Amino acid sequence: MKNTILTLLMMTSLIAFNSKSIQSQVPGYKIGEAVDDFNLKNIDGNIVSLASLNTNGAIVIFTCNHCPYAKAYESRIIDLDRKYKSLGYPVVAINPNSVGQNGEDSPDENKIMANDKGFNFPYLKDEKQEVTNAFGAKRTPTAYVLKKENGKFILKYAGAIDDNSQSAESATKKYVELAIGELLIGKSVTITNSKSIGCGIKFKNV
Amino acid sequence: MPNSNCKRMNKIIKLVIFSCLLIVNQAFTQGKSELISFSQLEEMLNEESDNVYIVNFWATWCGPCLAELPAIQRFYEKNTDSTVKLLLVSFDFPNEIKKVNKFIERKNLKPKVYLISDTDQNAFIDKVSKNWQGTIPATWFVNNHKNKKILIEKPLNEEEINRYLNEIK
Repeated sequence: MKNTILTLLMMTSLIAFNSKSIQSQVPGYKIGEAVDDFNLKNIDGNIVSLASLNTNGAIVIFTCNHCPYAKAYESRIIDLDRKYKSLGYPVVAINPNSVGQNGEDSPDENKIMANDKGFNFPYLKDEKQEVTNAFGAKRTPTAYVLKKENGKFILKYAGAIDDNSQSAESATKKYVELAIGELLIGKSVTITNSKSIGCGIKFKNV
Repeated sequence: MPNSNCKRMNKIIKLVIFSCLLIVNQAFTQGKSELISFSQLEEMLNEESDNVYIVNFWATWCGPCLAELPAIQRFYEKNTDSTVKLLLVSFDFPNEIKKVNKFIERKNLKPKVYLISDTDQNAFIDKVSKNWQGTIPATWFVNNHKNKKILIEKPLNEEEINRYLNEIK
């Protein structure tokens, strides 16, 4: 009996270990890959999916309420939506963080934040963090430019919004704008990835 | 004779003033962070010397970094090897330098703290390591002398710091 339990324990730990190592091998969608649609709750309680946007594309941005780097990009995220919504690329903001002890990044706080800042776009909560993991997002803010092709949302760009975390005016490479600019004239995206410092996403049980 | 006495006096005064300045200077720079560009940091690490560097990338707003700090402090305090240099390089924005200095004072941080002044992170993240995704804390072990560099993108404990240090020594 003891032995069976031990074997079972060992087996489950092996499976757990394996699934973890598989997870770490898959850092998220690759450029050119179709993104799985999601159903996440918006601050108004409505469920938002990519399909429900009814657009040619989307700018999915993982962001949050307290990270200094996310804060530094708030107005730029609003500007992106203002500029590109009418061109078929609205912003879909997702808060990926597990809710903090004092309610940081909770749906209620997201609501206050979105209202204060005047977000004119969805601000979704990824409660289960499945979407975050699927995208392979690790930091806030991180942006993903998606273009609809044959009914599927294809990943065209992943990374920073631009190359200056401190000042929008001083940014010389506006990665997201460059990518959408190229997509809008039917070109392929030149810079498809960029790296940036940001706040590590707070994952559950970590 | 009085002339040489005067000269000696002059020398002593100069020495006293110099020492005072040194002490004052030290008192002012202690607990104070400095701005540094990535290329300046690289230059420092590349200096012709036997020094081995441990560069911890962190920020005051980064929870896991703060959780790691006590281990870094303990390592720093126990380290007796003068060729091992530990630096804290913060990603707090340069305009937050006062906040960082207050933090240093409050936590009694002993290692030298720098704030990175570069704004284009994409340009330097890969220069540190192609494997670095940009998550902090990250610690960079650099032995330029032996051309050994390791970047670890996770919080470290004291034992791990020693282990990676030995790998590059």
